Amino acid sequence: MTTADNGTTENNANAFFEAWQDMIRKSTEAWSQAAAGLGGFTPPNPGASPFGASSFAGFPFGAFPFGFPPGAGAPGSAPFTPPSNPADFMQMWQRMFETWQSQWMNSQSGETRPPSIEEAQRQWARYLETMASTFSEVMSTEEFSQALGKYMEQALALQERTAKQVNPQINALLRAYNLPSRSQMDRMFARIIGMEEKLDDLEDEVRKLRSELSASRRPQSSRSRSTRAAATGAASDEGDQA
Amino acid sequence: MVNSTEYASQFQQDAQQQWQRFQAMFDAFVVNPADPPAEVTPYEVIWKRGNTRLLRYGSRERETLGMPYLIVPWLGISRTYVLDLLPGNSMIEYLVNQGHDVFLLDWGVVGEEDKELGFEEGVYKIIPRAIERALEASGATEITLNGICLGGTLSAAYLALHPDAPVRNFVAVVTPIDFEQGGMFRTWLDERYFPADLIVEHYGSLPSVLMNTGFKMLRPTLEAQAMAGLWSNATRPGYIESYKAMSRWANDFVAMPGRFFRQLSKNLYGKNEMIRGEFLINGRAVNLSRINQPLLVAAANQDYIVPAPAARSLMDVVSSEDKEFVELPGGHISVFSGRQAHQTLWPKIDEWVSARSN
Repeated sequence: MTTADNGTTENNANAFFEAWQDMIRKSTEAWSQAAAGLGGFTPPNPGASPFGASSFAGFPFGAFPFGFPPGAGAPGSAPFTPPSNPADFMQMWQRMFETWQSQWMNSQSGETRPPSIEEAQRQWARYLETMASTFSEVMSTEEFSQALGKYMEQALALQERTAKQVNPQINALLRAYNLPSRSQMDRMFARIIGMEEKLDDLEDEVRKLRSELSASRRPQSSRSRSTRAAATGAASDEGDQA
Repeated sequence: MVNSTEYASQFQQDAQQQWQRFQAMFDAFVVNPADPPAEVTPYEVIWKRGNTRLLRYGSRERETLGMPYLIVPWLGISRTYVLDLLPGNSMIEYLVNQGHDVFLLDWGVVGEEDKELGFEEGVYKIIPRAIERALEASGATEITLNGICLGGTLSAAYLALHPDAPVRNFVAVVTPIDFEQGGMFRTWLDERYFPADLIVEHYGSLPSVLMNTGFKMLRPTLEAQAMAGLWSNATRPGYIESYKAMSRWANDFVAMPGRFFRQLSKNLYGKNEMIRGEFLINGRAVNLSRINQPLLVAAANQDYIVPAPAARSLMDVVSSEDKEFVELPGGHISVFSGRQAHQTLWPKIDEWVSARSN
């Protein structure tokens, strides 16, 4: 690869990373604003999470220092390390982004222009592998787990609130059309499952009786039947153990 | 320095190869876009309860080794037809052809009505009844129990709580037992952060869409890598057919019953109760040391869902004297349904079980 080629690749890569960085910033802002809009929602166990209920409401996105610090992403830079402040979601994203950029740049350095389409495909496969390992590194951290849990809590709270607003109208509509509501269906399922369970128990009893009956007629095959009974025997004493 | 003749020749070769791949892809996805049929081995339904079915494979007239081979797969998550994916690429077909009397406990597509299905029902109601029906259908007195993934966890719990069960051999394939070593899911399902209760309260189950997202997040680049692999291997005989079958299965997620998910995330991934003997089912502790059957544990060396140490740990807690651990090449699914499985796992199971079926 010539010097000019190197320069072009680096420029293209930087443009790509800048565009991606911008995309991440905008999507994180949008997500955080949506999360902040939940206002009244209180997580079920706020003490366990470093994200308070209103953590996102006052997050200083405007002040976040975008752009790579000197030396970040240079070849041979340290592997991903979790952010010092776990609540800093943006920091986590940036670390992830930097790690990936660094690995990508490493994979570029010393490469020559792909001599064939085949080689380009192999190179693409290597990039994907690099990306996969970076994602894995970031997503195996406790910070990611916290962020994921928080996101789920927020999303569920939003859905719960929407459902509370919409359900009365839906139920009224179902009543108007003489259709069962979800809770009525749930009750019906519970009854059917209960009946199914009773039928199964009855069937077991019938089989057991039939088995005993034929055992009394043909005592030589008793071993087979008693072994079979062992499969379900413990099931019948389940009540005693519970 | 490449001269122009060499360059032209290489370009021609490349272009020809790319054209052949394009033709193969066009044929497979535009001219004949239909997916290959699933569930290739003939079966009959022996027993049904709710969405759960007990299937028996192969014709009744054929000669078998005698002892039924019952497969208990994972509950929820995905469909079980990956065990019988394509002719020549089916674990069930292979075992049937080797003379095993194969039964499969198919949990079916978990619905709203299954939200209370948990370890209790699986261990005390469903697995015992499936074993009983399999014994009855085959006329045998004992079976080989093969748990796969969480089906292995359920089977291990069943055996621990039923020491007199008519199970001669136990085969555990990619079965998580030590959840502390449970990979990325262990981190994500950390009970301090993951709102398992909220999800179950809200949905009743872990919906298939969340299941899909969770598994895709484990390996976000997997689809892109699969596509790149598809293009590179498009001209290999049978590759596209396998890809289509596997791709359909890999996107065919099913929900996990709420009760089961709560136990899995809180008691197993959260507190690792199974291996500690603290996991309670109907008030009884699951003591894995009560398992004394001959045991074969198989793990995959590239499994990032159930890493090999998480599966291997079963070896250390059972009291079986005849036990063997194998770590085979492949990932969580490919170890039992991939192209190499017919040279690795399947013959190993056949050989191991056949030697212990007389």
